[in-house]
Amino acid sequence: MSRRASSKTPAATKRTTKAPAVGTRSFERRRQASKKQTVRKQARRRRSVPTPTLHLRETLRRIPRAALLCALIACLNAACWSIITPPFQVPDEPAHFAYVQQLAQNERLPTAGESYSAEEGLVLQGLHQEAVQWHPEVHTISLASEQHKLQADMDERLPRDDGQGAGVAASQPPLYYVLEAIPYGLGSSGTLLDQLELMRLLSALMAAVTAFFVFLFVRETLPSIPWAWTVGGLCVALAPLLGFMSGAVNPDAMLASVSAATFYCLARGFRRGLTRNLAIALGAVSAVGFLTKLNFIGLAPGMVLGLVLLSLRARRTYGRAAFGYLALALAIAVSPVFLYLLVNLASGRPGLGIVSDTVESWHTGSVFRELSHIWQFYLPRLPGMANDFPGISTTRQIWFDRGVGLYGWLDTSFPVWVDNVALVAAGLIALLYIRSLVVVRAVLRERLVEFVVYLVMTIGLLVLIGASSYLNVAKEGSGGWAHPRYLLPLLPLLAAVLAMAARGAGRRWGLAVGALIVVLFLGHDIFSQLQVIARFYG
Amino acid sequence: MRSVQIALVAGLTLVVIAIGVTLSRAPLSVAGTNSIPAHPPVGETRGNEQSCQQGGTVPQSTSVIRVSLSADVGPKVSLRVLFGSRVLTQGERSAGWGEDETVSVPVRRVSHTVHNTLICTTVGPSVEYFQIRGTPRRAASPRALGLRGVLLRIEYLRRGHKSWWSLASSVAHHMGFGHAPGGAWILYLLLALMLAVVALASGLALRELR
Repeated sequence: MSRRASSKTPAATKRTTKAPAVGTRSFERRRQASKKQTVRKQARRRRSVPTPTLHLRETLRRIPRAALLCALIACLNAACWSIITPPFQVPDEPAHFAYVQQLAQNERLPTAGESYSAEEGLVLQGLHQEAVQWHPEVHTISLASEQHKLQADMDERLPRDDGQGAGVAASQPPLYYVLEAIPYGLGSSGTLLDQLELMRLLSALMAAVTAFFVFLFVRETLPSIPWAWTVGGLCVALAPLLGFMSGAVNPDAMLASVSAATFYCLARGFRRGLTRNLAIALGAVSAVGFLTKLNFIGLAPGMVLGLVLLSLRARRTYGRAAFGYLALALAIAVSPVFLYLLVNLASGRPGLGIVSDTVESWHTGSVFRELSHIWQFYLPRLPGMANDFPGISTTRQIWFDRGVGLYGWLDTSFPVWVDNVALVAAGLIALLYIRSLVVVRAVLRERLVEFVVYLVMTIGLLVLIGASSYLNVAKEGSGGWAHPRYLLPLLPLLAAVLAMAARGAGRRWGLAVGALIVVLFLGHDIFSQLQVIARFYG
Repeated sequence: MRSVQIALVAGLTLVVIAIGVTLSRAPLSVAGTNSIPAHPPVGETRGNEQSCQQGGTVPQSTSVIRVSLSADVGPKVSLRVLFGSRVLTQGERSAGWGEDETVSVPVRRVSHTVHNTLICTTVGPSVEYFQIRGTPRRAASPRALGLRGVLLRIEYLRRGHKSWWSLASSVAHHMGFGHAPGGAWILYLLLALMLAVVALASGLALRELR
């Protein structure tokens, strides 16, 4: 029985029984009248369709104020980081700036060379960038004479369009850089440092988008505990790693935003079902992700799995049209990848940049050897595995300790005792999270499919990063691919874990623990900023 | 609601106290070196090596020793400073440091200045070949030199006399250079922004956590 049939009221049933017999004149009159009424209703409805402005206003009204506040906090925090961090003292910022400059000035994609423009070269020199980078004992310029020289150099207006390459950034897709070309252009009448700060502020806006979608993601995943949404959203807004990367010119800022939006769309689909609009949104967000940074490809297998599962569910409601939604989402998502592939192949580069390298890495030695490396890149070595990381616990000393705080060109860290204190705090949060999982295990079983999708997305990203590390070790003998910033796309999951941990403290203490976790992140953020100030200006 | 207020006030008070304590301490500064120039990288090793060299004069109150080793993912580094056969001080830095051109190793505080010391550096196994900066003891390729073939640059660090509080105006002045917008006023802008972040986050937590 259809839902509509089953929802008939007794009065409606009574009216139906009094209706004239089919085929009589009276029946025809009523049918005509009913038809006219339906047409009139449809016309009225068409006339009353809200204007886009009204619709937008209505949509904006429905956005939780707390989500907007989380976004504002994330933006302000990233703006603080953009002021604190000296220009070009963030991983690869000179290369990312060069990409934008060459794109804006020459209107073409840069090559992989490291020949920056004369202007950028002179500013890097004036800032003593190379002397400061990786030398925690060397501070930024501190003399008035150095500042005057830098200002005089910038006032000289050296050529901006003679750059030939963007180094490590050149292999990345162009969307982030195209967007950054807007503040670059707005600041073109000023100095290079003016342009850089404006570009950093655009990244700060992206931190706002990240926190906003993280809040909405937690709202969809934990709908029954509204206070936990704020815990998750605030913690991410105050996360120093997000602030640090979003206070700089680096596509990781936008990747975090797009990934948060992807997680949100999937969570919405699992909670409310897949609709045509959601399928379009998922496809569009994924397309933006692919055009932002290649690491987004790591999330793709999980996202495709999620879409397939959502369309299978939606089949019950929409029939075969649900598979149409799936096809629509995939077509939108994949279209820029094909375009990028074509452009790269036409210009003689690896089709998918680092992903091509990763695929290539499967041919570098045995697959099992690579899997073993990827496993050890994150987790303790299993019996029978060759030791790829001798003398180091990757879980603790790379991912955890570096996650606690590693700023500048990864040359600014906390004293070791801070990592130990952080380990205690993280352990307590993990215990509360596990307790929460045990308490809600029945719900967990019901939503197992959704969790599997998030797990596949996580594993996909970890494998992509691990495989890049394997290739790097095989080719260059260097182990320097262990940067916690690569995990920023997983921030929505961190927020959900923190919100669940607060809930794990029980009804009596949950709210207080939630507040304490927020203060913990706030304190972490403040001390991270102080650490960076001490390192560069102390 | 009351528990949230208490948690927030207690947490923020702790943060403020921690900031006060941290800023009342003096920053580390170089008190002495062994006079070996650090540039450029001359040796390479995959670790599991020990090397001893003259450490020169170790200043009083030294609490951190900086050694000219350069890595992306650094190995465990242990230091022992000897005076004759007596261990003057020692310390270690666990693996995972980097990416740096130097490694700072916290050591037990030295109570008085000691001349003519010997310093022994032990590095654990490493994920990668890492660079050693200093002066080569003999002519050889970087990998043949290893740790034993290079005289490392050693710097002795101790806390200065001025606290961070007393250095605040100098730090503000310094922050104004090499930035856009420039000038010492950006420290006030920064403080205002950060206070806004704290106020907004606290207010939101108070409003929503109930």
